[in-house]
Amino acid sequence: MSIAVVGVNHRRAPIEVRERLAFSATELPGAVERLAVEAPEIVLLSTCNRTELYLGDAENGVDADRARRALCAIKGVEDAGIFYTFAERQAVEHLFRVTAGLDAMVLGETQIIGQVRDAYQAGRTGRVFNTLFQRALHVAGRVHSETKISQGGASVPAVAARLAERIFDSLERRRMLVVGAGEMGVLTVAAFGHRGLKDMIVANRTHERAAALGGRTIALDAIDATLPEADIVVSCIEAERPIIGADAVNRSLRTRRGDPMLLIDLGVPRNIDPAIARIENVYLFDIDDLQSIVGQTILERQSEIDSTSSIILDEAEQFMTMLNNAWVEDIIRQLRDHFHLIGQEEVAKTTDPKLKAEIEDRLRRVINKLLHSPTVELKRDFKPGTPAEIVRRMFGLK
Amino acid sequence: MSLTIETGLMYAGMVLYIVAALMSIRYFSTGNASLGVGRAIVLGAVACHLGALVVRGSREGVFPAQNLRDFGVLTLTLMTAVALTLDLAKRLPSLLYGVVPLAAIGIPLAGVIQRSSGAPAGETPGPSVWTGLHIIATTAGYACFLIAFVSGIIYVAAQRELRDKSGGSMSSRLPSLETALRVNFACVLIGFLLLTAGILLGYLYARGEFTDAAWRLDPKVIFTTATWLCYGVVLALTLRPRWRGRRAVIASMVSFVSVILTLWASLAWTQFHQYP
Repeated sequence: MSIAVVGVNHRRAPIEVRERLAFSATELPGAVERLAVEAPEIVLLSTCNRTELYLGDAENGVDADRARRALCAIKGVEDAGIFYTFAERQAVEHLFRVTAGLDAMVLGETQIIGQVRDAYQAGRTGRVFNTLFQRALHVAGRVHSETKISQGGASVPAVAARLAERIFDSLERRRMLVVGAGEMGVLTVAAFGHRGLKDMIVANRTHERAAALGGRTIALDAIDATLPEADIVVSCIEAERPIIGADAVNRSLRTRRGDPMLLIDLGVPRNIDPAIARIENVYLFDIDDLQSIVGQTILERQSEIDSTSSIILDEAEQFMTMLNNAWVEDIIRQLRDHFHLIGQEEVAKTTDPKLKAEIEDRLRRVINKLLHSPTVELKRDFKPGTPAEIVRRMFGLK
Repeated sequence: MSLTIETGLMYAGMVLYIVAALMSIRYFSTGNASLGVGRAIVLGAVACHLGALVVRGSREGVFPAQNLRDFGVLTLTLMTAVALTLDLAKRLPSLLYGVVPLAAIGIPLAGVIQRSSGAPAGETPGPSVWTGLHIIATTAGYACFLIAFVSGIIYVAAQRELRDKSGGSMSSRLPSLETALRVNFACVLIGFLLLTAGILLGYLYARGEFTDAAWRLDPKVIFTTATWLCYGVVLALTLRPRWRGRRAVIASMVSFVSVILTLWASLAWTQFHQYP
């Protein structure tokens, strides 16, 4: 029985290398097919941060080096020492860490759980990997529910969306005004969309870019008039002085009959007059506020690493014990079958039924007594390469 | 036998409230208290105390709100039951865990004050249906005002975390401002309507029962009317855009002082409307 993983991640390889080694969803089945010769069980995990090939064999060892060369050959990438290789328990621990988001660029991110599930479903799996990957998904669930590793937003747009949820019940019924359709605007729209916000107005200098974000588009000079309609305002546009002033916000609050507003200012220089923060029922956050919250979140997540590591180690230990137990039980079963088969061959030579029954009974007792001590020893020390392995080889068991 | 069952249920309920209050402290300090277990414990406590009141009521043939202890148990049990229902319907564990310590402290305290007054519990003649309804309506109204008070604290705490622009160590445990405000407003409104009904029922009963009008000047009657006015003003202010949000919530919390004063008046001041 053997488990190994070879791969590259964001720590070992720059984006230029990772993108060459990446497999799209359509490429994945073909790649798995080609790599299937490397081991009976194969899972290929490919995300923007990593490409990893998991190899498993319930009966024999796996050649991770050969598999790595095969992986490089598929993508035409030089095997230049950027790959890592883990085997057996280390490979199990690595998979558990990856699935739990502990090896991610953003510590504790949960997107990887779905990516591992997809890779598992697209892979060639058997007894070992079915148990391993289902266990990995279970471990990820434990890590996220029992620790605070995924709490809080770990990026500026994610924090902005979480702030909105601290004010409003549900973002589905809220309307957002996005000022500026640049990269930050796109990311913010995605973060709010991920949390259910659908209704959006986009104000931008160029109509085309605004329209590309989706929603209703308005000109920049229509912001003040549109402000009362917006529960959330996200501004990320280049402007020398604030484009949203306190008077406009006060007027819009009156129109809104005091309904609260969340204003997120991602612009530098600031797009929204800081004096607005003093208005009742208006919550204003600028880029420094958000980055400070992101920093706190990252620190809080890092403080959870010890708790998550103990879960990973505990689960890896349990998994290895379970796997080895199953393996050694299989050897013991085969060993008993082997002895009984030899006995049956001898019993078959006897023709007297009464004598045959007596010999069968005595033979069974003798075999049980002979195998008692080896069985106990095998169960006691079941690591591969120890007595179990020797017995397997001695009697030609699978 | 029924006395034993009643006492057993009361003590069992109090023990469950204390356990739930300890979980509440854990929940607000670390966020690690199990919500399912907490809800089950609170449900058990509510069931025990309602059971104790039913046993007492059926044994003595009276509505079980004859003394301060009964009143305390009934009000705080109703409050907890409403908070539990809101939590189950809207996922508001902070509200449930917020009211539980009040019940854990308030119920034994009511018993202690009752005993220290020296008045025997439960020897008042059984009230009429009208007074029973009067008691239920006013008690449920006070329970709503208690929940409004707790939801007000939650709103202020959640808003303070937002104003501090921190990541919000408590934010994952607190509801959104919108939810806290909605619960606060709904409880003030329902509490006000129940108190209005309670006052009207009490007025109709007293007008038919007492020949002289001295009861109208009883301190408890005056304070209850003041409480009704305070919450009426809060509701009127809430309709004004400038008062929506924090100001309305704080007004509802300040108004809760009048509930405390009414309780104090019924304990120490009134001659006519005193608990035995």
